[in-house]
Amino acid sequence: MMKRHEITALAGMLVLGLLAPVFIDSPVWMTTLQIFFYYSLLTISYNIVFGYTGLFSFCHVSFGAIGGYTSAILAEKAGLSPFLGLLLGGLAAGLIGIVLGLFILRVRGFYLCLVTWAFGMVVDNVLKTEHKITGGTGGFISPSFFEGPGADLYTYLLGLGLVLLMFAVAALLYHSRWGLYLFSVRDDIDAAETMGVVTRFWKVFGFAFGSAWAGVAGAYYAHFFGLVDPSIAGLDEMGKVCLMVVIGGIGTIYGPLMGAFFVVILSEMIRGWAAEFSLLIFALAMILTVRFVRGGFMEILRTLLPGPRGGRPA
Amino acid sequence: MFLELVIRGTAIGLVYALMGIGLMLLHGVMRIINFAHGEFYMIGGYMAYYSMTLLNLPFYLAIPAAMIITFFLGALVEKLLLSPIHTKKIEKPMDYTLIMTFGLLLFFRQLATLVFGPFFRKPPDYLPADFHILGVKLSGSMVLAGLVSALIVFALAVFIHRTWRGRAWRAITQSNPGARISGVDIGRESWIACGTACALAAAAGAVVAPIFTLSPHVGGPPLAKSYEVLAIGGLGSIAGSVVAGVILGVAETLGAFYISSAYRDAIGFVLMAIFLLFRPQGLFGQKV
Amino acid sequence: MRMRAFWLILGLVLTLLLPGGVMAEETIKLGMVTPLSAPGDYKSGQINVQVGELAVEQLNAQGGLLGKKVEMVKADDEGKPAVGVTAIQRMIASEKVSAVVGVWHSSVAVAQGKVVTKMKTPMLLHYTWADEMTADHSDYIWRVGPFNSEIAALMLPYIEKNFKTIAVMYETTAFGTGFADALAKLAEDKGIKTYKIAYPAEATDLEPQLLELKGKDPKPELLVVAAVYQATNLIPKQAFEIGLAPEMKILCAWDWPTYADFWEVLGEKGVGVMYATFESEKLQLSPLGESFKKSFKAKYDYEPPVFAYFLYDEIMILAETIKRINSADPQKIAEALKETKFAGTTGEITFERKDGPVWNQWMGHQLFVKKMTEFKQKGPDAEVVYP
Repeated sequence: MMKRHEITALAGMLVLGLLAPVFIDSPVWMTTLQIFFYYSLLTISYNIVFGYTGLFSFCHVSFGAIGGYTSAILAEKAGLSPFLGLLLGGLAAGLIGIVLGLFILRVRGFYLCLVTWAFGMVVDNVLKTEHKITGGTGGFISPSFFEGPGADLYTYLLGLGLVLLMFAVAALLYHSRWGLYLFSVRDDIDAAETMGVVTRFWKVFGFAFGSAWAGVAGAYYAHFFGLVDPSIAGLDEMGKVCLMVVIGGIGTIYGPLMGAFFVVILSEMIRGWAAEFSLLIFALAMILTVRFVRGGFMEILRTLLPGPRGGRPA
Repeated sequence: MFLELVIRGTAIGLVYALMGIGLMLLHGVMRIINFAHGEFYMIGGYMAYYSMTLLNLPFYLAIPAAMIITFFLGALVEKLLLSPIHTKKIEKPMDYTLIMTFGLLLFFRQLATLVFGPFFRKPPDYLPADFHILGVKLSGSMVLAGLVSALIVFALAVFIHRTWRGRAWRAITQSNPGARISGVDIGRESWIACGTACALAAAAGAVVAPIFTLSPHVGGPPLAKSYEVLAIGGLGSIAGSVVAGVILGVAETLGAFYISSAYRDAIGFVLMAIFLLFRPQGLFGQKV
Repeated sequence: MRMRAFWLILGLVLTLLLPGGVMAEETIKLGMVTPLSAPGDYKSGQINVQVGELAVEQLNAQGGLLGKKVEMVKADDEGKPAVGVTAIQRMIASEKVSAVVGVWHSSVAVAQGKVVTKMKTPMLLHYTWADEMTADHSDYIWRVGPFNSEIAALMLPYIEKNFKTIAVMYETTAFGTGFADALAKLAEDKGIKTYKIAYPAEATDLEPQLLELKGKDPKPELLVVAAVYQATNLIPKQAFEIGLAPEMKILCAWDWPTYADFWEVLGEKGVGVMYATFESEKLQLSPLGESFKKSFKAKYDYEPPVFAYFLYDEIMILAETIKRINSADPQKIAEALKETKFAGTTGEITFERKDGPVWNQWMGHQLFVKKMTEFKQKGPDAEVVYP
């Protein structure tokens, strides 16, 4: 199941997460933490698609938008509860992920990249054009999870819960037989075929499962931020997610969280005096990381510190 | 109306072809995918703009200037960041270039925003006159864009087929080890090819700048169009890319008018997806 | 895992140790959230900032408010709703501003409106046209500027007199869609054939939409352009390139032709283009208006566009309200704005509450249509063709 250090980490994060609102007084930092939750959900789910299954999907954030818009529109126009929206957003993203996954079975490598990118661009185009439904470039205002006093705290706790849940699921998947199938698709799909692994199924599964969780991330964003707009599915956003996963360490268990934490919290900290530079610095970090330290933070840690680590199998 | 659409589509299609060919060069010689291709288009546009406004160069000098500067930039990028894929043993060169060039995309965009400012710029119109072609009125800039693109493509085709270097590149594209054995220095050809590809993108950007205006984010759609041309035309044939570019340009213009103007950009993407899924070698390509 | 926990603890500790807000000496803060970079309309945003700085300078020269200095805090919304929402949240939560002005793009403002209502801080709109802003009847949103339905109604008599077939090209935002819908409805009711062509707000190539227009029969005689982003100048320019103009006349929905880059992009073709505005030599400026015009021109070397007057009015109304209630508390200000009776730059300003968008809304606008008659003409020299 899960290694001992992962369970400890989970517990540790739960405790810290619960303590944080007690000590942090500033609403700006509370919002930042929730943005961190949003990106964590995206990076952990992207790690499953790219890190575990080896599919360099370029439309991951588009699934986030699909989930977000689905949830927001249903909540606003059909009066659906935002909590149900989380579920439905994830489901919508997952279903579309299955369909797209079936399409991309035929393609590999950079063709996969291009097709997913094409899909992402079409989604972007649709969101901006069908403004009567989606609100166009201006976006769509969505209802919050909670109303009244304490609403912000509850929304925060919901986010914390989602992240911990996703982390646990990803860790479990990592150590399970299913995870092994995904890794085999990533590492040597032909060998896996000959060993009897139904690679077609697992390829679609990896893609759709990750995309479904991206949908949940999007739905969470919609209701906590109060607004979904097409920019969340843009290339910049995809870049950020990619960057976070790379900096943290692709295919590892802690990598996505670390990458997201590093980028989000650091951007907030340097916002004051170097805000315009932040994305530049991060892009540079990504380039340098890939050039010199391919494994990201996790590799740095592994080399610096002795002992067992939750890392990508060599 | 139909004729007008076709002519406009052709003019812009030639510019698309120019961009696509640059990418094809990169892929053939270096076997890489490049997400930053659109950024070189953007940089080329800015270089032309500044050549004209700061150095007061006329447009027929500004465009080559932009190309030359970007050539060296592209070469530098190759030498520093992309050369590991032929020298070292990188586990997954595909992943490496995907992430690297993506990082470059972000990096160049942010750098451009900081250096050039987050504002829209427009160089003065290259040819202020209007032209009438087959009864359709086209702006001078548009005509120039089409002509210059065609010219550069033609020059490139001559280069590829007549010079030693061009032959070396074709050799590398067909068989990397084969070319090596024949004495081709892959490392050196790589940076030259990369520089050339970037120069081509820069030319496209420079030529189109007065029509579409410049901003740091202007590189997005051209990147997409380049890949669309590649997917439709296939790898390995310059003429094929020209045809593909024109097909794309005309399809977009016709589709925008007869189907929906709002979904114009989606047309290219759908075409690309169709080709990638059902005919990955494109219309004129060799192997996949 | 020890390492993981270590990183997280380190991170959180650093987080907590950071100063949570700006340690300020006692000042009264005014928030200016406006577009200052592309793709937003940074040209207008810069003018907004200039008006703000002038107003704050004047207030401080008179001794500030309630004995404290007045400070303007700027933030860039980039024309993007998500950025604008975050910026305004920060403004209110960290900077603790008394009120927010300078908001520009409707699509951004609509999202921000929800925030200010929730965070109980007044926001004043000087040139954000979306009806929804005031139609939602929030207690915290106040508008000195005009709104879509009002503008369309004021514009109609001119159109009715001169054209039988028109087209409206509009960005798909709260402003564009609202304006196009309002105008089309009014025009169609009067028997004027109206084509509505939408385009994505941040588009930099409008040829597809213009070509679509070119294929229409009967041909439109007038094109009304409802744009705020880069498309403002690109639409007229490409209309000429496509061959629609100059036979088809162009009417810009607001004063952007008075900006320098209008001539830069259009060149000679800009002569003959018309635009709608709320100020002309025919309008009588109040003494405050005259003095504002003079000080602005003296400080920045050009005459202020009409929306600058509205923004200036808003800041002065806030100043007067703060003095009147002897408090800079945002909630109290919002409460007190109801009783505003201010001798503004273009007329006396009171906020009406009736129905629909007429809520916390000033209704004293008069619309003019001006035409550029010479290359590189400046706003004040343009010819007034209506009324």
